[in-house]
Amino acid sequence: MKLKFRNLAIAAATVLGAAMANPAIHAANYPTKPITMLVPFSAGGPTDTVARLLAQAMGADLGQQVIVENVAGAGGTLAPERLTRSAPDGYTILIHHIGMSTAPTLYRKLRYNPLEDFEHIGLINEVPMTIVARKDFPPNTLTELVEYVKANKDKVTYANAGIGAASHLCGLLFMSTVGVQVTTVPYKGTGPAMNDLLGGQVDFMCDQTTNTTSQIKGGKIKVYAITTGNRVSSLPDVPTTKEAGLPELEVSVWHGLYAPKGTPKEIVERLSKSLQVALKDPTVIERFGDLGTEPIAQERATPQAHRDFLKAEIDKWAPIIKAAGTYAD
Amino acid sequence: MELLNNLAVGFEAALTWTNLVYCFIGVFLGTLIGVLPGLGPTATIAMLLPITFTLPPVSALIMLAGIYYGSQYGGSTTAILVNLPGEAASVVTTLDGYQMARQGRAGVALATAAIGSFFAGTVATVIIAFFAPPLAEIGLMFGAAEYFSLMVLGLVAAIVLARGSLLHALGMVVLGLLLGLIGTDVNSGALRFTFDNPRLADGISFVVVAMGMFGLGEIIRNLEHEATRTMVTSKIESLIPTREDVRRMIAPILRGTAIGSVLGILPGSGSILGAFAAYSVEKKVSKYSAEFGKGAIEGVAAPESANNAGAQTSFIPMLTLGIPSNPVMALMIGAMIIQGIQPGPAVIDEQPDLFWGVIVSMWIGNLFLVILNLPLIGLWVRIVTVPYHLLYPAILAFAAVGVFSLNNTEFDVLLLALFGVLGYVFAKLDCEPAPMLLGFILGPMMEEYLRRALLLSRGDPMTFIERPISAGLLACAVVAIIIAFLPAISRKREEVFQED
Amino acid sequence: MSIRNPKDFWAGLIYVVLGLAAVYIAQDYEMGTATRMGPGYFPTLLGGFLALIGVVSLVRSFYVPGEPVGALALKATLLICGATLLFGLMLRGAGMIVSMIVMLLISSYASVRFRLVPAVLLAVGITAFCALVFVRGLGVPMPLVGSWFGG
Repeated sequence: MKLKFRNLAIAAATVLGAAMANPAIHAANYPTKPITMLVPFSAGGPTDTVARLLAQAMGADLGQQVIVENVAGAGGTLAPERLTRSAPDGYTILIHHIGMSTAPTLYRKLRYNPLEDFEHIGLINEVPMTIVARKDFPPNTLTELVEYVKANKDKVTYANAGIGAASHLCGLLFMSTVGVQVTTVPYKGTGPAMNDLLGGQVDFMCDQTTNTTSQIKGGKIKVYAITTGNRVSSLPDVPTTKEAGLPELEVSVWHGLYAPKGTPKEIVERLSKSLQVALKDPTVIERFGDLGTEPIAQERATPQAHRDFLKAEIDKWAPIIKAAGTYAD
Repeated sequence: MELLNNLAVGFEAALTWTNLVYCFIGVFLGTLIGVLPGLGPTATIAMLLPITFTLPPVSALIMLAGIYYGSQYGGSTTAILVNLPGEAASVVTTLDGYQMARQGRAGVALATAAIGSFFAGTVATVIIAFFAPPLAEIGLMFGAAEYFSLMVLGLVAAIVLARGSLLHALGMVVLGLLLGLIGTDVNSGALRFTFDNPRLADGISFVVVAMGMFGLGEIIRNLEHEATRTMVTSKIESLIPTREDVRRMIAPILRGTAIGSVLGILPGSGSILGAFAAYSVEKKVSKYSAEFGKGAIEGVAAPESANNAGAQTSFIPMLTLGIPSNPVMALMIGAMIIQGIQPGPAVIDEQPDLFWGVIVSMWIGNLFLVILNLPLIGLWVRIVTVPYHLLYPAILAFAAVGVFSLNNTEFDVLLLALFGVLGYVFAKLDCEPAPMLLGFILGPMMEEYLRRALLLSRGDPMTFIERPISAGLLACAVVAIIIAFLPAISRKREEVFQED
Repeated sequence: MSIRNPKDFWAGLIYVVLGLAAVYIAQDYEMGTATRMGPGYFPTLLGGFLALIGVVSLVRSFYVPGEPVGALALKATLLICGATLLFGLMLRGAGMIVSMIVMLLISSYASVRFRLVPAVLLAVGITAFCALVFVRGLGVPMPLVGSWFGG
């Protein structure tokens, strides 16, 4: 009896071992162990929140845990670098936001190419930005804001969360659309920036709905517009920039999922499918809604759509950043 | 009174069995992390965030909060026993705490830290309960100019911290300021002193510097005199503070609590600055100031109270305004968002059980902590009796792992080794590490606020004096410098006389 | 003229070297003006100040006497810091278990009370504890077995 069992065990192990060594079968069985999702910012921030929600839902679909690992640093460029050094076996993926498209222009010594060095899995969501100001700032609508800024361009101050942050980009776009340069005051992150806005130390800024919604609802800051095409359910009374008169001012903090270059096509497809399933998950939709965002349309959560959009964004932001002349290195 | 109603709501929420258990788990974990050098509440909370998904929001926050302020308790343990600050804010506790341990009074030092922390935590919780919203408003009145002036005051404190030569204290402070500048410049985005290494783009972590200079440096120092070293092994005196000790700790605890509570509210400065400030003030004000640096009990009581008070009051901006005052608060906000709660001014009204429940649980947590920690003192003190040649490799291992866990990169471990060498060299040259560390923290902040203040005032330097709070702080700094130098001048006179 | 205060002398020298290095490197950064400081302003100011303090210390070392520095514990420094360095460098390749044991053995050797068998036992024990508590328990992402060994 014992001998028979032992033989069986050895036979099974051999077959299994041979099977594991075969990459085709490997892909078919994917995933067989937990997957790591790299997040380029520290835990607790908006991207991290989206990542964790997604990880939960994707993990349920894939049947293996998706573990979030924060690799913060260098303005969000450390994590993609890590990804380029990771094995292309589908067990390490990366979430990143609009920063992926602006990094090549902002960082002249960047060590990776967002289009060529990664496999693109799909887009995740788009978080609109809101144009907000301190409570006692004179203008009350977007049109008034533009007039006020033009008339007082030497006195007005604009806050952002640091060079390369979404709020910085939004500010650049604002200034180039309106045609006025105002004094930009950089902060280390949106927390300190919001702090000074609440305290009335600085005049106005752009920030993601994630961070501004509760302050707006609490009446502590003023809001002028949402920078995407449609109104947001969590802030139904806020007009879009298109409605309020500045249609060119469209910025959204979009998130996308990436894998190392060379990850087998079947695995990328599997991840993409899993992403689409996660985006239909009711909890994800609900939580995204609380954050002021919603999951991206299913057809954009695909590799090709992602890659095309990324290229479009890179091309959109490059001239604006170059015109401003401030780089991150 | 409305307050009593609110507290009732809070007690109801906090005193459920579930929440009591989570509170206990939180403070227990927190103490453990605080004791383990290097591993801080930020890393731990980040790792535990996924678990909080499945918990009800009140329980999740209670547990996470417990981890945070619990870690302030634990951090002092290793600071006192082996000169390794378990928590950034415990750096100051090493100054006198470790000396007390060397004199066989580790137990007393630990007890002082626990008592001071408990008192401070309790008082701070009361402050939060009564004054949270107005205090948050005051926090908002601090703009860049005010912060800059506060930092200047802090720098003056650094000089006061010096034990030895004033010149070297100044040198170390400036060196610290310079080292703090390594990384990205907020105002221009430029990378400074990073030698094209992306790992330096966010600067060097405070924990790495502290571990290297205090921890490793101390290990090497001890090995130097190994043969002649009188380790504390032989004489552990009583674990309980004497009457005299208790009498001496009262005032420092009160002062430390006050200073820590105030500074904790200000986003950015947090409990570290509170601990340093409390120590400096105590040193100036105490009649035993000559003993500071050699094992004065006030030197443990004041900073420990301050850092615990600060840990509690740093919740205020987070709970009332939804603004994180430090990375741990940012994580809590993240946890709340994942739970579907929008942190911000609405939380007090829309989720009173959350708000008041967390506050009341803080008080309960402090109680748990003192009950947990006091009996453990006997255990901790035994660690000191372990033969040093067996103990220090363990210290090294914990420091290395702890430092790694900050950013999950081995580069930090390499830096740890470098600062170990530096720490040892400077120690041999009688240059104190504490002023350097304070300069390290303050440097980048000072520059950031200075430039931002000038940006906001459009280049007008008078802004620092025109704004009342800022002017007041600068005036305090000037007064402090004068007071600091008065004895120095008369001391110089004495020296000259002696040499002749 | 002889050095009367070696500690002041060496400290001063270090300050001067580091201060001047800072000023030199900062030349690459924009200076700006006093009211609109560029990234290079503060570092240059501080570096210069540090060098100045260094000079004062150097000069003082020739006049005001002080204690000698005392022998440097080179062996201890090399072993402790070297062990830490090695740990960092070997971590990904050899894995945490091997690297830590190596680090602990080397650092134990710095003690005069070093004996091989207890040191090995200690190293294994501490490593096991760290692996269980930090890596398994708290989830610190350190590879237990490194890439050289197929981890």
